[in-house]
Amino acid sequence: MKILFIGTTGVHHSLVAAHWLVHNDLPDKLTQIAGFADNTEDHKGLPILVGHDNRNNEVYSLGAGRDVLMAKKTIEELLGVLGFYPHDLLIKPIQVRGDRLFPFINKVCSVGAEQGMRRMMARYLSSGPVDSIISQVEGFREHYQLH
Amino acid sequence: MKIIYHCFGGSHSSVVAAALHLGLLNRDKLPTPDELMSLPYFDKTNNDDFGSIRLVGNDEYGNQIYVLGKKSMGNRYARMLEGVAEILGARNQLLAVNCMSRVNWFMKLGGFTSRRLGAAALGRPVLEKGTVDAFFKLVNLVEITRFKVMAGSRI
Repeated sequence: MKILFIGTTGVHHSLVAAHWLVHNDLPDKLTQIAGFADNTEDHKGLPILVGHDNRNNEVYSLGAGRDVLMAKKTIEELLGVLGFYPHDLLIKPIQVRGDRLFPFINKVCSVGAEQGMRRMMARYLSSGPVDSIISQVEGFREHYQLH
Repeated sequence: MKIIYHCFGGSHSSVVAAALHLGLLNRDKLPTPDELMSLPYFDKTNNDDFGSIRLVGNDEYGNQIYVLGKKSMGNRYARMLEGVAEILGARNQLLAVNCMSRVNWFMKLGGFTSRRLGAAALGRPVLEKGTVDAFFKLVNLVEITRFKVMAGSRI
């Protein structure tokens, strides 16, 4: 089974969520997560493999743009189109306050000030949204009994 | 193979491209308004259809042809779909084709007026003019797509 966390970008909140599911822990600074706020990676628009959880499920993060729920619907339908079942790929949207601005921030990063923006995003997510992210992941883990 | 033609609303350019691919429209002749309106899904979608992958039919090689409306997500959406197919090990089963490069301002304005504002009587004539203007560009896109599919199936 594969698990896909989707957010407005794939390198901020959804990446933190995927990291939490894989490691059950977060580093002191979110910037220490591999690929955090890497706008080059995010612009590719492809799922990012973060690792394997304790059941050896592949865990991915994906940036889906401003309409995350529309993307979830499309990916769920794509599974059916390609002949897969919903349990082949579990999809969990991760949403935090202000996340619709993240794609814009990523664009700003691409024209400079990347390091500063990276630190700013880490500080912002650590200031409160990270608790919401962990709670969303734990709810997902509980729902699918991924312990 | 599954071929998904996608545009903003999944209601106009992608539907015409899918119809061309399936032979529902003659590639050598500009379509009439009645022919356009008789196409499945043409100017008939609503907000709930955004993000839905809708089957239009099977082509002569057994490929399934779909349409999708993805709002203003651009090529990112195609990469996202192909990326998901990749992690499922089904990358060679999917081709996502963005029709937005063939869409002109008449189509955008007419489509917006008809679908988003709900003023079909006002929007459709503009939309039909835009679609006729873009028709051979969409024919070209479909020819390229069919060629890609044929070339891919030979590899």
